[in-house]
Amino acid sequence: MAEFSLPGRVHLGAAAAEPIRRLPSGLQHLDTLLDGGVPRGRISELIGPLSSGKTALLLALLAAVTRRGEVTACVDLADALHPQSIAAAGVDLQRILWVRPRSVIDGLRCTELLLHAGGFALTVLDLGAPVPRPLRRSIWPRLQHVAEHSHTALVILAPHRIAGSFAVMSLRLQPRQPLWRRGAWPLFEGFETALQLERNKLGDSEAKSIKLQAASQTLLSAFDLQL
Amino acid sequence: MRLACLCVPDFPLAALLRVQPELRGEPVAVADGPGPGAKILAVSAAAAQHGITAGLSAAQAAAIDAQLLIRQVSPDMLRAAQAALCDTATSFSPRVEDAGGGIVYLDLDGLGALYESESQLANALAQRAVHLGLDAYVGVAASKVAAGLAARNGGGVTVIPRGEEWSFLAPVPVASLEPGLELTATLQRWGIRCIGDLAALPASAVGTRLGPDGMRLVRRARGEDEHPLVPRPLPIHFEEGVDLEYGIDAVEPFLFVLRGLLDRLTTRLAVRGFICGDLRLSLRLATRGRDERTVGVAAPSNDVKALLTLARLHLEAHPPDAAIEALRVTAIPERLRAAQLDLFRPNGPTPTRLAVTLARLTAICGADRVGAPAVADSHRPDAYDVRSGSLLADGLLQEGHPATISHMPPAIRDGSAVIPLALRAVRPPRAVEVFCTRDRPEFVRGDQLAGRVVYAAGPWRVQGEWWSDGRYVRDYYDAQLSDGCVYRLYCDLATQGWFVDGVYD
Repeated sequence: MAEFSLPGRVHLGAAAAEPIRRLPSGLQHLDTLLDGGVPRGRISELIGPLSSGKTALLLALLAAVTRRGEVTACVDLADALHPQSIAAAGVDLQRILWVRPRSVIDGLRCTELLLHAGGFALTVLDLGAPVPRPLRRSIWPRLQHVAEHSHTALVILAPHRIAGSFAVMSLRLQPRQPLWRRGAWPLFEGFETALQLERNKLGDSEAKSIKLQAASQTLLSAFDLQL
Repeated sequence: MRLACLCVPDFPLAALLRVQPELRGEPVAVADGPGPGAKILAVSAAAAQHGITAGLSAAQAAAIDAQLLIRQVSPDMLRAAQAALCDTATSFSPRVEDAGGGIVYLDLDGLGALYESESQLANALAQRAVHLGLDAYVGVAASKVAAGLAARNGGGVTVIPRGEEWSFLAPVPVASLEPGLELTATLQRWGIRCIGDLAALPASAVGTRLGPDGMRLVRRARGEDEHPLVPRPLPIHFEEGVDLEYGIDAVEPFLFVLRGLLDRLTTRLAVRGFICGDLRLSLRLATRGRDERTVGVAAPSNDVKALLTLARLHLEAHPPDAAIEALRVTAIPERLRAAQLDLFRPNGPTPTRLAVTLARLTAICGADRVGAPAVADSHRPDAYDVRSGSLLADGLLQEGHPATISHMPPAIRDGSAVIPLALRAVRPPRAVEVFCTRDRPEFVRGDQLAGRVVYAAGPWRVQGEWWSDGRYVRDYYDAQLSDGCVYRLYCDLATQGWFVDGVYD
């Protein structure tokens, strides 16, 4: 018994937690900030107002995931996904299931069904802006439980934090300034945004931020980046 | 050659009990029509105990047992039962002959490697028939006649070993060969009671006295087939129907009836290795009209609950004009395509679970709102497409090698990660008021949207589809409003109306 009384020999409670798998976004800065990517089996939030770049960031994540051959789903309550933008971001359109429910209740049911189905690496719940009502708080522990079982990363797109403490990670996007090419023929070229890790239950890199640029094709061409 | 015969005794009664299993154990008689003069075709064991036999009139049978349930069997029910019996046989062998009337023959050659013995194979056949709602007798022998007699007279599963046909058939009453009335009388006069007696007679002598019918009878008594097995490919057609005793004008009772039909259909589909695609409903209405409709199933599935939900949604959206008196359901069979798994690729959703999930999602959202996004074949800026057909059949959402997609490599500029700009669509485009100064937008006002234009780019004239009713001529602008958001606006030159069809995000 003397041996067991030594510290570290007796473990109380459940077995050691399984290491959390991550979905890398393919953006080095972001993956460093997120300790490797978006956590699977957990709820994460992408929050920010319109024109903050959250949809562009989501598409970049979807592109990275589908390029690895994984299957994703998007519950689009706002009916706002733009297939041309998705294709331009490099998302494999054959690996994304687009669901457009007619009401918030249907949207939450669809999200739960997709999480239950298993096999989806990433499921997105796009709540749009403003967030539709009614949205019961009791839904989040339920979705979190199902996501944990299916090892699916659930990412919520909303203008503000919505899942409370059930979201292990909240990324806030703050728009800085739109980029315009001024002159006789002005052109909209994108915008700069600040990406701040507002909440991170799984790591210690809380309250850090990086800069992000969402750039139009014109601007990307100017950078000699081939779309 | 080894053949099996699947024989369903009292076939009309079996067809009825397949549709109404709650009548099993009850005194039931099947009549050939309505009214007291109808002839009884088949009776259940409980009814036979009371002395009711086939051939009585409905009135006579009812007089013997007041508790007797007299039912009729529609041609749809008989067809479906026969098709289910054929499905049972086809699930074992592709060489099947449909003899009709609850009898099917199948070739067993080549199945020996799958089963330890013929008895085991015959038992598996009988169990498969029970799974499809039919209590079938099974006979296995070297010829159709012997297999048929074994099935009919064995009363269960009977296997006649090779070379022992004679010893099995010899004691069977000659009436089992179903000779005509005249031949029966002649054979009785001759003192021939069993098949062995008849088979021992010289065929030519019998032919001289009884003609060609007598010759054929002797050959059958010797276990020789008049025609060999004629296997024909069975149609891949799955249909179940029911005639209702009264008109149904509410959804719930209709779905109760439909559930039974779908249960039987999906069982048959599963036995044949299919899954249910679209459903065709043919409804006979109380007004003597017909209502034909197709319920689209985006993700083929054998999940009855999901199919019922789809049917409910379709009926609620398009209710029939009158009460429903008869219902026929046809399932369009589809094959679930097998995918080669890859050790080095991540696991995707399993096809079966994905099919059920898609069916449920379709039931909730509608077939046009679930699918894979696709870029429309159009130059219209707000055009989009959804591949909402059979996602699994098209190989979508399947794990495997990712497609080669041109994409922007991750880039860093001035310390910022650079990603492609995205547009959030506004569907349908939202009408707004735009105040212009010298043809430049200055102020925008609309539902949940108002602000001074801080900066704008455009216009870009977009026009097309002038050859159709959908022609458009629009001037597009990118406009940053004072609320900080950048919107995509356009002015429809045909109506001079302004719309917002997207916001950059």
